[in-house]
Amino acid sequence: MKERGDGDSYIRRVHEDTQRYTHEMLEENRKLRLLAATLESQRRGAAETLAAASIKLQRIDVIEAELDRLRNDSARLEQIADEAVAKLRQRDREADDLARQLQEAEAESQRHLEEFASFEQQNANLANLYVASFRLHSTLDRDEVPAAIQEIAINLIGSEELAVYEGESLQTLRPLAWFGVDPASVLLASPVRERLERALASGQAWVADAPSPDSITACVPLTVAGRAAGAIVVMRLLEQKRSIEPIDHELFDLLATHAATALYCANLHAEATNACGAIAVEAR
Amino acid sequence: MMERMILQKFSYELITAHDGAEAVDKAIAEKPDLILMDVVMPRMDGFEACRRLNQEPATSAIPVIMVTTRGEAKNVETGFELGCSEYVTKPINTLELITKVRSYLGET
Repeated sequence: MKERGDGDSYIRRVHEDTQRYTHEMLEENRKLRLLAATLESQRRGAAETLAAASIKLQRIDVIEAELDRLRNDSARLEQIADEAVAKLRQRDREADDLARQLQEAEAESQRHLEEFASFEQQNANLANLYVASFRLHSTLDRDEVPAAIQEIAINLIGSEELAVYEGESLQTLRPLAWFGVDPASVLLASPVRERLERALASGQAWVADAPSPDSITACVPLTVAGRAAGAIVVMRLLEQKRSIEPIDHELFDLLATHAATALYCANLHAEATNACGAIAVEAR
Repeated sequence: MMERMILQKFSYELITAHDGAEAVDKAIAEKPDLILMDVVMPRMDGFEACRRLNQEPATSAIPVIMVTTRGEAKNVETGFELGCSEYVTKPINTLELITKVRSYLGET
């Protein structure tokens, strides 16, 4: 009984051990399968990661290639930009030069315009003087010379009030011709007398600084060979004559000598004509 | 007289008349490019001559520059009403006269 009991116990024990072992083996197997599944999962994940990394690496290669291309492009563009900036600076310098040249040309043009205007004015003044001189010497008629003086006074000086006198001094002056004024009254005015006396003594014309509506404008001595032979007194100027210009002074100076010479020549011519007439009468 | 001498100095070909009536006749006959007319003239004054020139088909297009000693507004207005194109007052400013003449002759 004991042996049988021992056998049963042994069998039971073996059975139990086997059961336990089996159980442990199953447990171990389950763990191993789990591990295997985990590893498989990890392998798959690693493979996917590897694949993704590979794709990324390819992309990186593409990007790096693109980057290289862009770097090259950038370098080329920088070079172009540098060249453009250099050209732009060159253009700026050229534009500055052109602007300066234009400014100089404009200044030069302005200077030429002013010179041209000045020459035109001088030409006009010379024409006036020529015309006045020509008019005075265009006649030997004693009555025509005062008319020429009047024309010059009206047309070139701008006065319709003047008197022409003959004589060497204030005391001996006698009216030769007059327009718009009474020659005797003119000589009574003390400002006229003073200025006329001074003009006759000095041989220099006196000319007012500016036109005055109620006073004397000029006292012009008529001189031949440095000697007083008469005078012209110019009273008021025409209303529209606003100022006395340098050309007026030149006209007065011209009258001082050329009017006197014209009168002198006209007198000589009249005397010569009379003398010739007398000789002709005597010869008959 | 003075205007004639000045313009001659600037090499213009001139025809002169001694009064307004002669000026009208000569203008019709000669048809000048420009007429320079004194206001004060014997027989026919400048205004009347200007009016007749303006009425005459042969001369109505010829510009007339009036030369006057008096530059009053009334005078100027009358001149323009009668057909004058421009005014020059005495004393003659040669440069002004020449500039106006050149302008009407199309030289500027």
